[in-house]
Amino acid sequence: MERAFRRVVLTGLGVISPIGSGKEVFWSNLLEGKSGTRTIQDFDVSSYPSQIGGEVLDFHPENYIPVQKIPKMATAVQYAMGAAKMAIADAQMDFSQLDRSRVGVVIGTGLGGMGIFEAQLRTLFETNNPRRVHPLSVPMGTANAAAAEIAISFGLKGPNITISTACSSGANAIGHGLDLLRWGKADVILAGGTEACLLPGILAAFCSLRTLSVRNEAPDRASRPFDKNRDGFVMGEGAGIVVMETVEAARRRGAVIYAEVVGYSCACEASHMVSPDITGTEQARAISLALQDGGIAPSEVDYINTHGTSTLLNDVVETRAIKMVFGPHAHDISMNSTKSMIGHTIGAAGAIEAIVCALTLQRAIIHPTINSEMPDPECDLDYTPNKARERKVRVALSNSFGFGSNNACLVMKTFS
Amino acid sequence: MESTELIEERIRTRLVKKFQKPVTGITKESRLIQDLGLDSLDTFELLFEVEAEFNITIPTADAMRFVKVQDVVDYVQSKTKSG
Repeated sequence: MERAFRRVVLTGLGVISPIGSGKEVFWSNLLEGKSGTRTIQDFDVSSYPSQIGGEVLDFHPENYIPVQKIPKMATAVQYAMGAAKMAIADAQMDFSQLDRSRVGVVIGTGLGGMGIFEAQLRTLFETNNPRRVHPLSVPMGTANAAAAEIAISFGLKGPNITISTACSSGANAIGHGLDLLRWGKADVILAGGTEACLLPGILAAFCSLRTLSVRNEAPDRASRPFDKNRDGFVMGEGAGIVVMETVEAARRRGAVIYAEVVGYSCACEASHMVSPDITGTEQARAISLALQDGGIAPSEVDYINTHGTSTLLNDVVETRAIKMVFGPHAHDISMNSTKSMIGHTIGAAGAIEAIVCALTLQRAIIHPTINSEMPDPECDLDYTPNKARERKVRVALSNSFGFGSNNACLVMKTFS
Repeated sequence: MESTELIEERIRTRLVKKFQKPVTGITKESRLIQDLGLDSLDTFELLFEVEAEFNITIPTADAMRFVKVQDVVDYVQSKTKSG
């Protein structure tokens, strides 16, 4: 079929996660089914209803950021810088050989530099002196700091966009990157998501919303998407950034191509801030729109990286939506939830999961959904329980469903 | 009241710590922007640090007149003297 717009491929991957940073460590831990969720160590959580988080343990900012700039960047910005540098190195991209006004950055984040504001509010209330609020709080804490710092660091003068759609931010960022490249507004885009949400105030807020697992006695088994005994999600931190470029740009520089990004949908349920339409109709609509956008028939999809949060509602509704779109073929599709190991990295999740799709397409192995112990009769599809499985995948779908009833889906396939 | 030397030393220490400037490269004659390479945000950060260090308040209009390290030292001295 003749396509009206330019084709877009992924040529570089960078990831910071609770189970390791860098695509190889991350990938091998995913295949081994290693959990990255544990009792939060960064601050005292003993009085919190949920005490579990996916903290990043192996990130050394000095490997990616000039030492004097590190204290001037929020944690989420540092993660994004790290993941961006990894992705650029992975893509073997040399910006000095490119027109930098044609290189853009699109970053998703749910909470941005909230840690900066939490710390400054503490100072303000403790001292009762507004003059003790740090002068860099605004540039450090602003939501678009990550996108801006990446652009400044590499001199990237193309579009610079920050997307905040809660849990679907990372997927929306990659989708928007796809659109910018298709529309010809850039030739290369660094896209992804970043989140540093394990903060005293934010954890308390999510606890009060009663969405988090309280399996405090077994933190590595708390995130259990699609399992009958799931009791909520686990927050995680991290970042995922990809290098996306047009096929022409990738070919011109002889880049190694992981996958082609062919479809993207972005649709709002316009019904409720946190609860999805329980029939699954709205999520199904988002999935169908992404498939249509990519010119992909439902029967072509081999693999779905689910949103799979481990909340009671999400996993049932997502299963319903998948059945609605794929019919009997739903049972032939391999699925998994990356969140079973790294927790829900909010604004980074959709981007990290797109990276998982790219690696799955390249390496023909489906990572497991861990902590699958007791099947839920309402979640009766193949979520790849507990053990990785080899499978050649041609077309992958990644689901991301965010608070605000915002649904984003990405469709990727092997490049040919 | 503190001696000029002591005030200068405390400001110099702040500069060294905050902006990773070599101690030997900072004199009373060093210009904040041209010689020490501070940008506008760095300058605000320096004011923030100096306010905390000496427990004084520096209005923006006063800070606009700071060119050299000496200007900051003089200002701090005048403020701490009157306080």
